[in-house]
Amino acid sequence: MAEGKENAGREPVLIVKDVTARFGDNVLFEKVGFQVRRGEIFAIAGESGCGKSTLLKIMIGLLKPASGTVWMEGVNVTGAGEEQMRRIRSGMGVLFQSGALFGSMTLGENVALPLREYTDLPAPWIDRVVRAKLAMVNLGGLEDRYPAELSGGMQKRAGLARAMALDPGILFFDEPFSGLDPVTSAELEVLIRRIRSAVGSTMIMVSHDLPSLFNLADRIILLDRGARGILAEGDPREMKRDAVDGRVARFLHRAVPDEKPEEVGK
Amino acid sequence: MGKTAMEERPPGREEVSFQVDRVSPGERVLSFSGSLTVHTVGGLLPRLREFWTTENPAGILVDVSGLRKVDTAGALFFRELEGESRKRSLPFAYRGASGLLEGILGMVPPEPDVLPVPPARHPGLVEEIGKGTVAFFRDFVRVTGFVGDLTLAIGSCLVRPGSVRWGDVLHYMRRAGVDGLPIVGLISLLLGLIMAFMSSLQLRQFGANLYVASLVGIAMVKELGPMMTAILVAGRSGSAYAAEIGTMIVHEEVDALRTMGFEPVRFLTVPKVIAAVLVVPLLTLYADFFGVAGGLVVGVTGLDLTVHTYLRETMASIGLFDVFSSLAKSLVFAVIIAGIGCQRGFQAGRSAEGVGASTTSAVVAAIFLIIVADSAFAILFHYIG
Ligand SMILES: Nc1ncnc2c1ncn2[C@@H]1O[C@H](COP(=O)(O)OP(=O)(O)OP(=O)(O)O)[C@@H](O)[C@H]1O
Ligand SMILES: [Mg+2]
Repeated sequence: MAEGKENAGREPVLIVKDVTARFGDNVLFEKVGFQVRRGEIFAIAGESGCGKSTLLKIMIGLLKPASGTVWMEGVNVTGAGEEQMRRIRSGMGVLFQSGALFGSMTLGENVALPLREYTDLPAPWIDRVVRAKLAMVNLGGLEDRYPAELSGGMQKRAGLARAMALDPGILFFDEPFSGLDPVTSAELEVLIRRIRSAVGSTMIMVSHDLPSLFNLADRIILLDRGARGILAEGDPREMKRDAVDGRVARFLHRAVPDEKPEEVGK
Repeated sequence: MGKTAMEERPPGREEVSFQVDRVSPGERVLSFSGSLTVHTVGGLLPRLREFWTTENPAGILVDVSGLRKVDTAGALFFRELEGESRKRSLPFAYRGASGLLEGILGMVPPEPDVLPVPPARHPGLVEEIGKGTVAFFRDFVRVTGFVGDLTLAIGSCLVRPGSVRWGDVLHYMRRAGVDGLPIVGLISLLLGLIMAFMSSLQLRQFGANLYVASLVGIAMVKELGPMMTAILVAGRSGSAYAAEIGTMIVHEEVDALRTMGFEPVRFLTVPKVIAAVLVVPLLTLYADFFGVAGGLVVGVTGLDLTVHTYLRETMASIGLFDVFSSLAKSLVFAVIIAGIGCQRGFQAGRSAEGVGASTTSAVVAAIFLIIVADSAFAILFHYIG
């Protein structure tokens, strides 16, 4: 399907080519391929268990695919050595599903960690950046709190602050909206949009929360267990309009109850 | 469903009655009345089995008009009945079904005629032994790989001591060392007391009271001090290391570390190993001291020895070599405890159960390896000393 017009001509930041993922005999998907262009918000949707998180881990080099290649910023992630991986990683941020904050460190220390590892900023400057990042996600003044003292939504925002610590060119999100109430979820959407316009990061998110993805994503792919790959790809609204395949239609229409406000509180 | 709620009774008083009528030569009417629920279905099952074995019906009509209440178990009971009739190709019908029964039957779809699942195969003895052996070697390979990673990580930290997270080292030293002082002291003191007391019973017969001092001293310093300390630290800290790292894996924290460019083995294991190596030998000395003190208490109160004689005898029996070899042993034990604790943590699965299993395994494997290492030391020191 056609890609968003405004993206045409922009260079790809991430290329996924013919990637197959498998755990033992359990093949999750085969020969999946797509490209993400600079500055785009790209979403990978699909039902639970179809392999979204696995695909994300392959893209960021935590898992090796059974076959296929991933290039990030021109570097082959699937075959990169430690030194190359380190360079790629300094240019990317990952928000994990649970926030994945380190429980033994305060929020401030969590956010400071990548800054200490990758920059030679003096300590007072690190503090300053940390405070600014936490303020950006509305957690200003909570530098000395431990993750266990925060709510799930606050932990997720703190995880976002840590993922953004280095203002990375590419941000990955695993289920950014799961476990959040509608208000917090909407706040997070606003925040993500603000970060995109302020920092200009490319964002790749994996989620089954279609309403939020529809609000945010420029382009979306739908992974499917039965098809063992990509069921549909394109602009979310076009995709919904042209949905012909029964599965696409079912997934989209159920997940996006347009003009039916009474379903919201469900 | 409001009606059912009102008629609900305590579970013990629910009853169901079941009756079989022969209408025509072949057809049978099964009438149920009362409550067919999770509390009453069990009692019906033998009667149903009896019905199928004694009768040879040509058709089944189920009269449910007398049923006041049917729950999921009851609906499953009817589904079972339907299934059995279908298997025997008998016509099957309900009579007097209320909306209530239809509602609950709608929630429990009829079971499809699947082929019976083959019973789980019990692997034979040979297969079990084979699997066990493979698992053991896999584990061995993993541990070896981990030892390699750990050696590399420690090596690189020796080259660049600035890269060690010393704050964490202090934290773990406090947890394993300072917080362990009371229990290590108490156990060693009791050990010394017991040894002195038990041996004095024997030695007193020969008037050899004095040797209690050297017996306690040698046993404590050469064997029991290092060993008991190591076992206590394995139970207190080795398990904690495994649980901590296992939980971090479950919460994707280890993944996060990796994406931020930290080598998890170096980041998480090195501070723990350094802390253990610094603390366990000190704890061992402390344990030796309390063990001797325990013996002293018995010697002075029960054996009419003076403090001075007791200590002189102890000092005469323990050489500097013994103290150093005890420290060397405890150093190795420390590496085993921290290393195995962390390794088990890293191989914990992504579940709470996995974390529990890895914690147990950390303690058991550490104690096993401590004893193996201790035997090796016994042989080694025999030839050196
Ligand atoms: N480490 C693993 N070992 C074996 N199988 C795994 C492993 N991780 C995931 N799987 C399997 O891969 C499948 C996809 O998992 P994955 O976590 O990628 O799904 P997902 O699409 O992210 O689902 P969700 O939306 O529920 O998070 C699951 O069926 C799971 O059983
Ligand atoms: Mg997932």
